[in-house]
Amino acid sequence: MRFARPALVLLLLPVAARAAPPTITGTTVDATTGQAIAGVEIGVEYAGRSAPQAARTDATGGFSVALVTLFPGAVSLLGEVTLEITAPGYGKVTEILSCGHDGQACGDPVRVPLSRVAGAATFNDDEARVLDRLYSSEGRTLYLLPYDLPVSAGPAIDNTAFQDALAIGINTVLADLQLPPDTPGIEPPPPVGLKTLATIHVERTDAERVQAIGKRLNALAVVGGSGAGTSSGGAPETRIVSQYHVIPSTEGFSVGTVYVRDVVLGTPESAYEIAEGLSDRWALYTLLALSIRQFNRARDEGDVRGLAEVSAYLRAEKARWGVQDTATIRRLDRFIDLVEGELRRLSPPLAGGGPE
Amino acid sequence: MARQRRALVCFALVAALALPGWAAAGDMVVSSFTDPAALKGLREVLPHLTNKVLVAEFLDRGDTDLGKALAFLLWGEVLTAISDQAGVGAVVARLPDEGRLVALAQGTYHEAVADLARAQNTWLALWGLIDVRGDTAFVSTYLSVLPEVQRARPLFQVQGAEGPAAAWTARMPQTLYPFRLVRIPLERLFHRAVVTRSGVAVRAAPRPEAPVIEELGADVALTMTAMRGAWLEVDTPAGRHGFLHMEKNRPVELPPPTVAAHRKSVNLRAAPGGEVLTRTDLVGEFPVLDRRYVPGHGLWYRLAVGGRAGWVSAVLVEERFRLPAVDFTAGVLRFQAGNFTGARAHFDRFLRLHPGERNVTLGAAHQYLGASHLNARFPNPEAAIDALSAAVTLTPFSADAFKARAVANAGLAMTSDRPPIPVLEAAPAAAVADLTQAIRLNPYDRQAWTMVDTLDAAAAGAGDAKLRRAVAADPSRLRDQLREIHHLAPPVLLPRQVGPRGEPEATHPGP
Repeated sequence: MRFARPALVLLLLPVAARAAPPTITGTTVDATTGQAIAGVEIGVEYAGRSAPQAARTDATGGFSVALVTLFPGAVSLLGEVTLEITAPGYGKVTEILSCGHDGQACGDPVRVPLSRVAGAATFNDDEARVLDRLYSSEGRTLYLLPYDLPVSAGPAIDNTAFQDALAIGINTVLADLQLPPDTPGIEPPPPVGLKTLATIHVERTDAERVQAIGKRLNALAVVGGSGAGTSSGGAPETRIVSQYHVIPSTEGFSVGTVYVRDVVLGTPESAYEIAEGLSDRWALYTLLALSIRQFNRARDEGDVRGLAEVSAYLRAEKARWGVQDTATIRRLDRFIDLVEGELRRLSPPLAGGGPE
Repeated sequence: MARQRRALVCFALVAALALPGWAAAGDMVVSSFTDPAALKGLREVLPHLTNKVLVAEFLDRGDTDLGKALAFLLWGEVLTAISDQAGVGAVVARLPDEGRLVALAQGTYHEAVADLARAQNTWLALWGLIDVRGDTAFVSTYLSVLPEVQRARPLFQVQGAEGPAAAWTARMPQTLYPFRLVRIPLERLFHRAVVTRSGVAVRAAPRPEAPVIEELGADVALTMTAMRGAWLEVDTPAGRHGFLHMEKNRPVELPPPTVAAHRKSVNLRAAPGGEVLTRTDLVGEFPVLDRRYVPGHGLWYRLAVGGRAGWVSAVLVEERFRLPAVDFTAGVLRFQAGNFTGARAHFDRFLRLHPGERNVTLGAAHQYLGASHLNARFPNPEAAIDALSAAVTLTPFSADAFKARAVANAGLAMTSDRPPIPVLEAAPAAAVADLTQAIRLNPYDRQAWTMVDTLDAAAAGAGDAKLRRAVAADPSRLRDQLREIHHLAPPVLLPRQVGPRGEPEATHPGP
C-alpha cells in the first residue's frame, strides 16, 4: 500500500506524455469591417507564467498559443488565462478566459474584434441630448450597457437588481481598501455611481464608438456584456462575455478594452449570481480608472501626495488578489512602477538612510 | 508541559469586557435608513453593551417582504450562536410600520447601515441583499466593522512593549467581510423548530389585530414553516397553524435548524439530563426538535435520530447555521468579549464548513483564529503561526498579513522562558523577514517603519530590553537585515505628522 501512489504515477506517465498540451486558438478581426488582421501580437499570462510575445497572427488573423501545464490535460488547474492583444492603429484588447471549469472556455476558439483607436465620433441630436443628460460632471460614474442574456434566463435577470449588486460590490471594495490606517491624508476613494445606457444603441463589439461615448460622458468605464446558453456533456451552462471599456488612459499604462469570458453552470436565475462573479473585476477596473485619472492630474500638478495616494490605492487593491492572479498582479505592478517612477522624478531619494 | 505553556503567555489579552449580564441580549430598533434626522433622534437600545452587532433589514429589490424576514432570522441565529456569552448583544433594525427596504442602492445602503450602527453604538453591522426567484432565495451577506472602532481594537500585541515598541501590535486591516452568495430554497432557509421564551399568542393571520387561536407558555417547541416580514408562520404541538410576531421582546428563540456530530454510543435521554432511552451512534447531521438550557445540567438539544427523538447534551454536537456569516459574526463578538476559546471554535468551524469563501474573508478568519490561539489562557504558538501563515498564503500581497505574523513571531521571540520548540527558535528571524516583506508590499505603512525603528534601537543596544534580547542576539546579522529594509524606503514617505505650521516633520525613516 505504501508504494501504491508512486506506482500509479509511473503507470500514468506514458498516458500523460501522449496528451496534447492545452492550446488557445483564435482569430483577430477588424470590429468594423470584419476583416482578418495579420501581424497582431498576442501575449499570454497564466498560473505564474508570462510570455509577452507568445504568438503573432497569420494572414488569416489566426493565432494559436500552447499552454504549459504541470500535467498535460490539467487545464482546470490553470484558473484564468489572460491574452493581451496589441496591433498598431488599434486599441489594446485584453481577453480573460476562465479555464477553471474543465477548460471549456479555454478550449473554444476566441474571436477578438479590434477597434481603431477612437477618433472624433459623431452623434445625432437625439444621442447628444441623451449623452448630455447622462454626463458625469465629477467623472465618478460607470455606465452600464444592459447585459444581453439568453431568453431562458432573460425574465429572471433584473438589470436594476444587477446594477444594485454591482454598485454595492464595487463601492464596498473601494471603501475597504487596506490603506495604512495611521497615515494621515490617505482616505479611501469616495463611492462611484452607476448609470444605465439603455437608450443609446451601440454595438458592443464597436469598442471605438463605446470609447467615444465614454469620453463624451466623462465616464470612468463603460461596461456591458452578453451571454448564451449552451450545454457541456448534457449539462446546461451559460457563457457570459463581459466587456470593460476603461476610459481614462495615460502614457505608459492603458487598460483599453477587456473581455472576460466566464462560464456559469446551469442557467443563472438571479442577477446576483452574475453580479457576484463580476463585482471583484469591476472593482479592479473601477479603481484602475480612478487611479489613472488621479495619476494624470497629480503628475500634471506635481502633486506628490496625490501620487503617493495612487500608489497606496494600487498596493491596497493588490492585497485583495491571490498568487494565481498573475495577470492582475503584473498589471497592478506595472502601474505601481509608473507611479513610483513619477514620484522619484518629483522627489528624489534623500541621501543616507541605512544603519551602518 | 502546562508550566511551559503558561510561560508562553506573552500576549496581552485584548479588551476583555466585563459587563453586566450573563447571556447575550437582543433588542430591536425601528428607523428610517435614509433620514439623518431620524437617526439623530434614535434611542440607543442595549445601552449597557458596547460589544454588539446591528443586523439590518436586507435590501429586497423584489419587494417580497423577505428582506425584513431574513434580518429577523439572522438576528435570531446570531443570538443563539452567542447565547451563553455574557456582555454581548444583537440589535435588529427594521423600517417603520410595514415599510420595506426596496430602493436604497448605488452604494448608499452600506453607508446607511454604518450610520445606523454608529447611532446605535454597535461596532459591527450585518447586512445584505436578497433576491427571490420562485422557491429559491439568493442571499448576499456582508459584515461591516466601523473603521474607527476597528483601528482602536488590536488583534494581539507584544506584552509589555512600551514607547515605540508598542508598534508591535497586530490589527485587522479589513473593515468589511463579504460572504459568498448563498442559493437556498426558502423552505430550507426558514423551516426549523423554534422555542417559546415566555407566554405568546398565536394569531390566525400575520396581523396584530388578527384573532388569537392559541396561547402558549414558555419552553414550547413549535415548528416554523416560513416567515413573512417579522411574522413567523408556525405549527403548534396541538396541530394549529398560526403566526407569531418576532417583535422586540423576542417571544421565541431560534435554535440552529440542525446539529452535526461524529460520535459513537451517545446517550439519548428522555429529558435534558434525564433517563437514558437508548445509546446510539450520532454520525451525521440531525434536525433539531427542541433546545433547552437547564441550570446545573447545561444546554441540551432534542434531536430526531434514526426514527427516535431524544435529548443530547450540546457539548456532544456542533451547531449548523444556514448562513456562513453567523459563525463569523459570533466569532468576532466572542473574540471581542475575551472568550478566545469560543471564538476559536466559531472560526475553526467557519473555515472547515466554508472553504470556498472569498480569500480576504478566509484570510481574516485565519487571522482571528491565530489571534485566538495567542490570546488564549494557554496559548498555542504553533497553531497560531499556522493560522497566520494560512492568512499569508491566502492574501500573499497583503502587507498586514505579514505584519501580523511578524508581531506574533516577535512576541514569541520575546518569551522569557522559551521551551525548545521549532517555531520559537525560528521566531526572531521570521519576525524580521515578515516585516521586510510587509514593507516591500507597502512602504507607506507608518506602523511598519516604527517597528523598524525599534529594531534599529535594538541593534544599537537600546530600546525595549526584551525585544533587544529577542532579535538582537546576533546584532551584526540584524544590522544586515535592517540595511535591506531601509533600502526599501520609497523616495517619498508621507509625513508622519503635520507640524505646527502645517509643514511635514519627517520625510524619511532614516535611523
